[in-house]
Amino acid sequence: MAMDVMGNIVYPTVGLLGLYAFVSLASLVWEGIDRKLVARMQRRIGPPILQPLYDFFKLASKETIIPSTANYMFKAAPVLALATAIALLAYTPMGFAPILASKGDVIVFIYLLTLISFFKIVGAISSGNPYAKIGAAREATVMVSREPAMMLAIFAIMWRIGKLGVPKPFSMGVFYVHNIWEIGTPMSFVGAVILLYVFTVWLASEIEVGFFNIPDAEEEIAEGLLVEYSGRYLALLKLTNAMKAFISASLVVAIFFPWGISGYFNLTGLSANVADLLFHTLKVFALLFVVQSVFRAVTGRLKITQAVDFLWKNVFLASLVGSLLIAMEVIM
Amino acid sequence: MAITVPANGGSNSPELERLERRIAQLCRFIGRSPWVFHINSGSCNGCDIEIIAALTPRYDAERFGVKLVGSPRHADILLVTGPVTNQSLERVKLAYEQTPEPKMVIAVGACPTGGGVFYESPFTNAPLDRVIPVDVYVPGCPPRPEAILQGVVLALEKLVEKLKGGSEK
Repeated sequence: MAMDVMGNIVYPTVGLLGLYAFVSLASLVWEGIDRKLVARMQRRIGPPILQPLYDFFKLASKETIIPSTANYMFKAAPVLALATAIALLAYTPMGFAPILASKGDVIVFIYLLTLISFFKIVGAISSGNPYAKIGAAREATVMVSREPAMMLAIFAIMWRIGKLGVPKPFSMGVFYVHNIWEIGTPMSFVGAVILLYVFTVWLASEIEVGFFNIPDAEEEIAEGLLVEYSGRYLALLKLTNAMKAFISASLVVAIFFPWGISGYFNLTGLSANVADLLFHTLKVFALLFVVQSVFRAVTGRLKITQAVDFLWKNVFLASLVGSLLIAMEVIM
Repeated sequence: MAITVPANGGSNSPELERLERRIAQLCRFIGRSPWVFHINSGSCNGCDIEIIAALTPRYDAERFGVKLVGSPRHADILLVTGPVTNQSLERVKLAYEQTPEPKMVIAVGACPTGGGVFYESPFTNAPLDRVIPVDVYVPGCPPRPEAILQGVVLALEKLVEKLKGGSEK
C-alpha cells in the first residue's frame, strides 16, 4: 500500500514539479535565445539571453490594472491557462514517455493544448476591449483551421505505429517504442516527410510566428488578445505562451526525432531521464530555431483569410495525402 | 560580418558609447526591461521617424531590453510626440491613466515641450505638461535619435531616484 502511494502519487507529483521548473526556465531562456538570434540576423546586437526573465520579473512587480469593463473571467483566464499548461506537461513526451502516459492519452494532450488557446480567448473576450475581441476572433479562426490537419496526421501516425505492436496504443509513449521511420516502406517514408512539413507549419501556427502572427499582431491590433492585460496577469500569459511553444515543439520532436542518448552512455533510471531530457531540449531548440527564429525573420504576417486558405487548402491536403501514404499498405 | 555599418562617422561616437553604457547601467537597476509606448498626439511624423530610428539596427535600443509595445497597459515609459491637438487631448489623458505604475513620460520634440510653431494655437493644448505630468523634455524639431536615447537615460535616472526614495520612506 505504501509502495502504491509512493509510485502513484508522490513520484509523479515530484516529477511534474521538476518538469515544470525546468520547462518554464528552458522556455523563457529559449525566448531570449530566439530574440538574440533574430537580432543577429538583422545585424543588431540584440537583448541579453536572460531578457525574458527580466521582463517576467519586471511585469510581476508592476501594478496590475483590471479594466472596469472586465468580468471575473478576465482574472481567472491567465491562471487557468498556466494551470492547463502545467497539467499538459504530465502528458508531453520529453525524451521519455510522459509521466501519466496511458492508453489513449493523445486525446487528453490535444484537448489540453486547445484549452490553453480557449482560456486565452475567454480572457480576451471578458476584457471588453474591441481589439481583444478582434484578436480572439482571429485566434479562434486560426485554431479551428490548424488543428484538424494536426489531429488527422497524429491519429494516422499513432494508428500505424500501433500496428507495429506497442503495449499502449494511442499513448504519447509509443514514439519511444517504435518511431515513424521504422515503418520501412518507401511510401511510408514519403508520407513521413510530407507529415513533417504538416507538423512544421502546424507548429509555426501554434506558436503564432511569421505567417501566423495574426492574433497577436502588435502593429495592427495592439497585441490583440493581450491588449488589456498588465502586470502579473501579463507575466503569467507570457510564461504560458513560452511553455506552450516548448510543449508543441516537444510533440513534433517526439514524433519525428525521438532518439535518446542515454542508451549510448549505458545510463539507467533517473540519470537516463535527465540525459534524455537535456538532449530533448537541445532538439527542441534546434527545431524552434528553424520554425520560429528563421521563419519569423524571413516572413511577414498573412491576412486572416489567406492564413485560413493556406491551412485548409495546402496543409490539410498535405496531411490527408501523408496520412494515406503512411496507412496505405495496411488499408490495402 | 560581411557588411559593417560605420557608427555615426566617428565624430561623436564616444558620446554615443557613453550614453549606451549609462543606459545599460541604469537598465540593470530597474529590472532591465523598460517597455516603451509611443503616443502620437497630432505630430507631423518627424519625431516618430526619429523614434523608430532609435530602434533600428544602427542604434538598436532592444539590446537594453527597450521594446516598443502596442498597448499602454504593457508600457513603462510613454513617449509623447505632437502638440496635443483637441482631438487627441482626451486620448492622451486616457493612455496616461491606462499605464500601470511606475511610469515615466518623455515629451519628444519641440511641440510637446513648448508648443513650437503651434504655440498659442486655439486647436492645440501645446505644452504637454498642461495635460499630464511630464518627467523629461527632449527638445528639437525633430530631435536626433541620440537625444531621444539621452531622454531615456534621464527618465531612467529619475525613475531610479523615485524608486530609491520610495523604498527609504
